Amino acid sequence: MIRIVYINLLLSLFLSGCFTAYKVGKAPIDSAKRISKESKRAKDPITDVEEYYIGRAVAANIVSSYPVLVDDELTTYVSFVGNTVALNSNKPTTYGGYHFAILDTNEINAFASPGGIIFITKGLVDSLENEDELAAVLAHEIAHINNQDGIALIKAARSASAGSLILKEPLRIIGSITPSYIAQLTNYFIQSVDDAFNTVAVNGYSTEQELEADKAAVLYLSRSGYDPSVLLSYQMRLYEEGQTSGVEKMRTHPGAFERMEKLKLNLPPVQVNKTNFELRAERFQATIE
Amino acid sequence: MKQLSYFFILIVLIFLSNYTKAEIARVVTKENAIREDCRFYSPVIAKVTLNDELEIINGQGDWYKVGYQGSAGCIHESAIDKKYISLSSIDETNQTSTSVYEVSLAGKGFLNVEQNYKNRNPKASFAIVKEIEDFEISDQELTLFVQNGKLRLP
Repeated sequence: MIRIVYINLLLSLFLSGCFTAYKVGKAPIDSAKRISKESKRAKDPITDVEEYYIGRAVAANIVSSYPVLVDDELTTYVSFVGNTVALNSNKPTTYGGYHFAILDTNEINAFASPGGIIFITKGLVDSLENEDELAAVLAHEIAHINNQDGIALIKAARSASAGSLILKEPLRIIGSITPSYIAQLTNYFIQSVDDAFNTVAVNGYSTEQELEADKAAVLYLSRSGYDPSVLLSYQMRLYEEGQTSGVEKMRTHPGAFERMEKLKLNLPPVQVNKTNFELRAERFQATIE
Repeated sequence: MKQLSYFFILIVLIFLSNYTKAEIARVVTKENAIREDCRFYSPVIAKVTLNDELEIINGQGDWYKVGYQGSAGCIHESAIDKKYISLSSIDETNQTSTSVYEVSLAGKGFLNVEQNYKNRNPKASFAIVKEIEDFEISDQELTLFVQNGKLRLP
């Protein structure tokens, strides 16, 4: 009997030992596989953390061009509307969260820094007639963040060339971040920020990106309980005003006519409660005035 | 003989327990909250920050029920990385790691890079960006805003 106990015990210990030996032998292979996978990531889409830091730098450049309006009441209101829509978006949480600010300029525009910082101009706020229009503008910008449109150029460039960063990948994994690696990363970062800033604040998005952002915005607005049709009516009003005045509105949002045509096709048949719409329009007016 | 079998089963269970681990996820946002119920703006049970490890209990739609420092609650799926391997057991698994890459960049790497960027671009107003990021609205106020406007939160 005792012999059987010993045999069982030894068998268990032997099996356990085999497993440990297997693990020890397997570890370097797994490490190699992991390093290989990590190296491939250099070509992969940009991580949330990278996007956040690029977005911060883009935002820092935007606010160096436009002063930020110091109006806590209006900023709080815009943040309430923006966060409501963001939570109903496809990406309710970002690495650094969503933040909203108003730029003190009469220009009518809105910018979505990668990662979640969204700017609208005072001129844009003045051009709005109700809360649902504000939500529509913010939903469109949130969609650009969800779709990572601000960093699309960087993603494309990264896909085209793996870049020399791959060579440093193993160093990064074991935590040896050398000064030369930081310098290399800084150069890469500067280039990335320039690309993102040019997309977000200078050249604007492609018409295709705008159409996709409109499509997503309609979805987020519907989920939130806002009237998605105001996205179209607001664009039409801006377009008509632009035609009359000869001044192009929302210059970083091209393809206005095509956008409106597509939007007409994409709008869902939503029954909007007029009482609730008016209720929100009243609080909008109360805040703006 | 019966006692011997129990003894054997016990040893096998001890052996297996070493290799059965709960699924662990990592927080991928700067800060977040474990909430009482699986919805935004449910009362907060615990605050979590980047790279905190959470034990996955189960999935509930877009949310996960997780364990954290002895308490259990909900966190949205977009706030965690399930394909995570603990840094303390980096060679003990063959799962795909998305963590180490991000951890290194989120830590020393990117902070240094951003500082270098600031030095080369003194006009870039990072102080104002910080003010924008620090501008907070409360959970209760937003919930009230949504209710008063007859809006919806997920």
